[in-house]
Amino acid sequence: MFLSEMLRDLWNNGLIQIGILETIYMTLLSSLIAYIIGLPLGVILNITDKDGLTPNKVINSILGFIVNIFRSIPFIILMVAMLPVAKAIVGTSLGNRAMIVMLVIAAAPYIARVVESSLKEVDYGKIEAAKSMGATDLQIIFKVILRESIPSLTTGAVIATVTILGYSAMASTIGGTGLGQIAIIYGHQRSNADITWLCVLLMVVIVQIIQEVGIYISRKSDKRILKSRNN
Amino acid sequence: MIELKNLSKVFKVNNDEIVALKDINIRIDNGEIFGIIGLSGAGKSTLVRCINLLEKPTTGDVIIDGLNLTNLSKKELLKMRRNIGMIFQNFNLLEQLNVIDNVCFPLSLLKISKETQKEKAVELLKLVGLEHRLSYYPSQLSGGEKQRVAIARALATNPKYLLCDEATSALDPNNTQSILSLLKEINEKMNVTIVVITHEMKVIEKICDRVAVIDSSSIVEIGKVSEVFTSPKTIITKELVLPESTKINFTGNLGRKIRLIFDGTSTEESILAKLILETQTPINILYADTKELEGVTYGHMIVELPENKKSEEKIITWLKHHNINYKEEL
Ligand SMILES: Nc1ncnc2c1ncn2[C@@H]1O[C@H](COP(=O)(O)OP(=O)(O)OP(=O)(O)O)[C@@H](O)[C@H]1O
Ligand SMILES: [Mg+2]
Repeated sequence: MFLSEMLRDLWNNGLIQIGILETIYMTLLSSLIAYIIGLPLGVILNITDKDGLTPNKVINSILGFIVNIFRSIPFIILMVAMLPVAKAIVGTSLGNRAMIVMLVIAAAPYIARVVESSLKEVDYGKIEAAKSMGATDLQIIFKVILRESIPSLTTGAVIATVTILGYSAMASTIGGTGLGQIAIIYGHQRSNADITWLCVLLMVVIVQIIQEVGIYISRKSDKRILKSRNN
Repeated sequence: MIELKNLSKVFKVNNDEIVALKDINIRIDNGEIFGIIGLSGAGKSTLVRCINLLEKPTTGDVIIDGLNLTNLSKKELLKMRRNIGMIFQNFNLLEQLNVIDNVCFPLSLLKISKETQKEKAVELLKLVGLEHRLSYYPSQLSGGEKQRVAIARALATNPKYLLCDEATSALDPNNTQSILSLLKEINEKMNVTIVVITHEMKVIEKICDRVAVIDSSSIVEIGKVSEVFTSPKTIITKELVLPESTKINFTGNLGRKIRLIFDGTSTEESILAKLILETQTPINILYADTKELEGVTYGHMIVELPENKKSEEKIITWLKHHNINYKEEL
């Protein structure tokens, strides 16, 4: 098997290594910002549900509608449509900053749903018990609903991060950097299949690492699956 | 004192109205253990949830220590709830917190120092016999232990009242007995007034002073347990008291059947043995549910009398002479 000249060049110049770091950086930063927006939205969706802590049909349906619209648009189209928005927010529609804006816009509604479904797993009985002790709604949200769903939220975050990683590769097609860009520019456009495959392989490895670490943390933090009595 | 006055609750589901409670009037005195019994769907849970206003009554008042809860502001209501503990059929412990943190939970909602919380929690966990399980998680506990944690948690804010909604229904008979004893102990030692919701007469018998029978959203009978137990007035109460009676298959050539009622007025021991020995007449027991409390027999027994007028007379006379109530059973 021969490695193309170009792959060797890319590697020796450190471009692939930078691509890896850029992909990880874009993914983690976008995920973080998307969670800052998506988590509260997910909480609102959960508590305003008709079986939730503070049912509110109006808020729930409006928010649900907006989230669904964003969720139903394919990322690649949403990305193009949101270029002006990115420009308005970060002053440019090119480069990684603009990509992060688009990743966040695409991921936050998705995260809101992921969070909502995690929170739904909390048995209403626990909420009732807290109510019977005189807990306020805010205390119930933080001390019961969120705290009881930490393991499930962690699992959800892993899935969301992996999805955002995929989005970030797509974002490369219109100006983002990272492994996706390398695969397209050096691999696809210049017909170096080995570069494309290497990028694919590296993405798979990154996904695996995120998943393994995330699931491990989730399982470790879940007190429902303790098997033995250690102390 | 808990007073429920003309309480009713109607649920609106789509365009249907479900009447869950109809004109309920109950007074629960301080220091007593008050039972509410009824079949599934009768409205028991709705009733008990109205006491701490987890469910807002459609009409009527909930008055606790003279305070009408239906008029309180949200803030005042939350404060009032600390005075009314509650435990549930499926415990509702926080699964991501260990035993001691679960018991600290109601205190952590208040501005109370961590040390004070822990101190109180340990004290209560000792009371419920779980001081050796402080750092266990709920998933590592048995059902009975979980309910003990829930009881300790409910008592953390020193409530004057404790509401128990089917607290023993998920437990086996042994655990049921020990949880009931624990509730009795809490009632006596800490002077906590307890409201017990159940569908099992056994639970009521074991710990309650008074009982209300609820059927299809209304209270149909209310009184001292010994009275309601020994002379049930309504069909539903009879069914609850004698759960098997309707299912007994009285086939064959059966003679006259009577129900003996042991309500504590007769102080004789081993009544049946004496009856048979002294009258020299065989009788057939079709159903029995009796127990001895402090040397006195309580309960019911359905017996079939011999098909012989003379022997029948003998037995009836003996029963009358020994002060034992009986009723014809059809
Ligand atoms: N939130 C609700 N919405 C609509 N109907 C309800 C609601 N809660 C209870 N009901 C109805 O009210 C009636 C009484 O219910 P409740 O839960 O009080 O019964 P229960 O006596 O506790 O029964 P069980 O022994 O099965 O727990 C039932 O017909 C039930 O379907
Ligand atoms: Mg119930």
